Formats: sequence, structure tokens, C-alpha cells
Amino acid sequence: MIRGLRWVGWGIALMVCPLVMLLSGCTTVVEGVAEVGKATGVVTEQQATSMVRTARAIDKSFEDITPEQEYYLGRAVGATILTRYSVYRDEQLTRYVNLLGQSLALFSDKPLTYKGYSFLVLDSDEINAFAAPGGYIFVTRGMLGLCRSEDELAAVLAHEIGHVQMAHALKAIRTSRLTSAFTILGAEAARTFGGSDLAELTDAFEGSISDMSQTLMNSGYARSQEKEADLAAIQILKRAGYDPNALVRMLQTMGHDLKPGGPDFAKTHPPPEARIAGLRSVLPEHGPQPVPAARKARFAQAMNGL
Amino acid sequence: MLRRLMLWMLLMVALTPPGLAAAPTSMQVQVQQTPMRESPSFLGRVVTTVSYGDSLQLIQATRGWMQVRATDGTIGWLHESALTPKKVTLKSGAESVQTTADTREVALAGKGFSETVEKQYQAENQAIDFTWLDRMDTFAVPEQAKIDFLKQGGLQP
Repeated sequence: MIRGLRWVGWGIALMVCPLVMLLSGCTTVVEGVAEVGKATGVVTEQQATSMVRTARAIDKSFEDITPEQEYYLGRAVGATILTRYSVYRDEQLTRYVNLLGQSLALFSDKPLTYKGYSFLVLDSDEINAFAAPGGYIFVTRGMLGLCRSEDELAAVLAHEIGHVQMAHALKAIRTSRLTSAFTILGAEAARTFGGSDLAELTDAFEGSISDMSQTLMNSGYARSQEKEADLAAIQILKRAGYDPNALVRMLQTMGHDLKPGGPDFAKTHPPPEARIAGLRSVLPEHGPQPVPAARKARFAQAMNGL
Repeated sequence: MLRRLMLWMLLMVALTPPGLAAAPTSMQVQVQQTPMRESPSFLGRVVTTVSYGDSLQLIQATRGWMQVRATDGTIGWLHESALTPKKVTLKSGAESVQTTADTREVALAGKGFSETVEKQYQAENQAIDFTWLDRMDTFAVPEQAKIDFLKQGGLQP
């Protein structure tokens, strides 16, 4: 009977935890539950300790990463991308892409990041784009070459802003890395950390960069995350006044030009047709709206050198 | 029976969300630096500039913007994405460290993946070069230029 009750106690603690976690953060609650449980004899001291320890470990997630830490992670992911791609040096184009991208970011749910959004063109024929944490966004020359209008380029950049907004890259970090990083930090909270702690922390950092770079450049995000980024892009385009159907046109072009099994977007993204099908319900029925001459002209001018 | 009662009490304790009753009124700035504006808009006149970790008192929130009061009494608006109820950093001085009861919070706010870790990481990875990332940090377009760009393109300013 007592044994049975203990299990019920555990069961309740486990059931309650996710609910309460939404409201307050699980650790303190589990600590409270464990204390009460211990006092009432529902759980043993050993079980109580273990409950707290487990909760602490589970508690470490990407949400514990502060914006400043996200910034440093983003820099390192960006620098890793640049070990594989070189920069396309065209000042006029870079300025235009930043003007467009940063203007679009104003309409995202996260217009401000630690140091703001910035965009860089990569000198590659590959059709690809990457968003590193904190707002470092990279788009290849090949991808820009596919865009036939500012609205289509806006769709590409808005999709990447969507990934930043939803911290998709950070979610690619294995929990074990963060648990280990935060355990070091927790243990060393009272004093400055020494050389071996720094080495361990750097290992966790390196592992996190590797998880994110691997996801961005090789394995790709989950389909659900790509859909989230597409939906965010449509929202941003609508709010800014761009044609949200430009995303569909861009996906259609990519569907036509991407080689299945190719090294680029085709490898890391769901097939364009599948993405379009998932977006139909949120897109307006009307065709393309008239585009002001000034918008057409500045796009043509910026793309001139490509 | 007594144990069953205790279990229910335990459940009640767990279900009482601490701190949910009162919305947090103290917010911290979570971007490196950002202007505080007179009105809830990126076009609003700048009243002061706030920095990462600055603590501000929340007055009201409306459609993505928050009206806040700085420690010097200045009142202005910030986009909600610039603010967090979490502690992101601690101002130097023993007092703030002592008054923060949760050591975990101290640890996460003060240290972690930082410039020191980046330097160590770079030392161990010679191929990594931060030159372009440093340059990207200088790409920030002034607010007015974005507004002009949107207007010129016949878009939503």
C-alpha cells in the first residue's frame, strides 16, 4: 500500500510538472513538492533529491540562453558558415539587402535582437540561405539570382527572419550541451570560474555550434519548423505591404530549378510543392498587385551586377 | 486515508502557481542598446537610450509596445521584443548579487557563452574568423532610412 502510494506520488508530481512548468518554471515547484513529499513520507529523501536533480536537468533548455549568449552563439555559427562559403563583395547589393531585410524585420514579432538583424551575400551558385541565432542572415548569390522581384527577395529574407524570430537554430542544440554548460555555471556561481571550467564551457559552446551548423548546412530543420518560418514570412510580407504570394512564386521557381538530391536548399528543405500546399489556406486569392515603378527600379539596380 | 489527504495537499501546493497573481512590473532590457521613444512607434521621438540589463518599471503594455519608467524617472516606450521579465545580467556591485536570492539566476545572467568563451573557441579553431561578423554588426540601417525605403517602395511605413 505504502509502496503503491509512493508511485502515485511520483505519478502526480510527473503529471503536474508540465502543467506547472508552463506557469512558473518547474524546478521550484518540484523542490516544493519534493520537500512536502519528503516531510509527509510519500517520497523518501533519496527520491526527493533525485526529483530535484532531474527537474534541474530538464529545466535547462534553449530558453535559458540569454540574448547576449544567443548573440555569441550566432556569431560563431555565422563564422562557421563562412568557413565553407566566401563573401560576395558588392557594397551596393549588400546595402540594398540590409535595407530590405532590416525594414522587413520591423514587421516581425521580434523586430529587435541583441545587436539587430544583419544580412550578407555569399559568393556561391548554390541556391541557399541560412539564419544564425541573433539575426545573422546569409543568402547565396544563386538564391538572389532566382528572385525576379523585390517581393520575391523579401519572401526569402522574411522566411529567414522567421527562423530567427522562433529561435529555431537554438532549438537544434542538444539539451545535454546546455545542461553541462549550466551545471558548470551553477557550480561556479559563487566564484569566478577557472581554467578547467572555461575549457569545459568552451566544449559545450563548440558542441552547440556544431549542432546548429550541422542542422543549418546539412540536416535541415524539421518540416514543422519550415512551415512556421513560411507562416511567419507570410505574416511579415502582409504587414509590410508586400505580396505574400511572392513566397509561393519563389517556391515554384525553386521547385523548377532545384535538383533533387542537390547540395543546397533541396537537401535541407522539404520539397517546394509540399510547402506551397501547406500555405494555401493563409494566402490571399487575388493575383499580384501593381508594383510601384520605384520598387522595380531599385531592385533592378541592386541586382545589376549579379 | 491520511496519506491520501496529504497527497491531495501536495497536489494543491503544486498547482498554486507562484507569482502568477501579480504580473511582473520590473522588466530588463534584452538588447545591447535601444532608443526609448515618446510614442509606441519606431518613428517616435527618442527620449533616452537604454542598455542591456537596465531595469525598467512597466507602466502599461499595448499592441506590442510597453510604456516604461527608467531609474532616473524618464518615461518612454519600447517594443516588447527589447524587454524581458527574466534577469539577463547583473549590474556590477555586490549589492545586486546579494539581493538576488537565486544563485542559478546569478550564474546564467552573469556568465555563460561570452567574449571569453569566444576567444577560447577561436584559439582552438584557427579556421574560424570573426572579421565578417564584426563587420555585419556595423550594417545597422538607421530607422529613418528604413522608413524612407518603405515609403519609396509604396509599402507600409
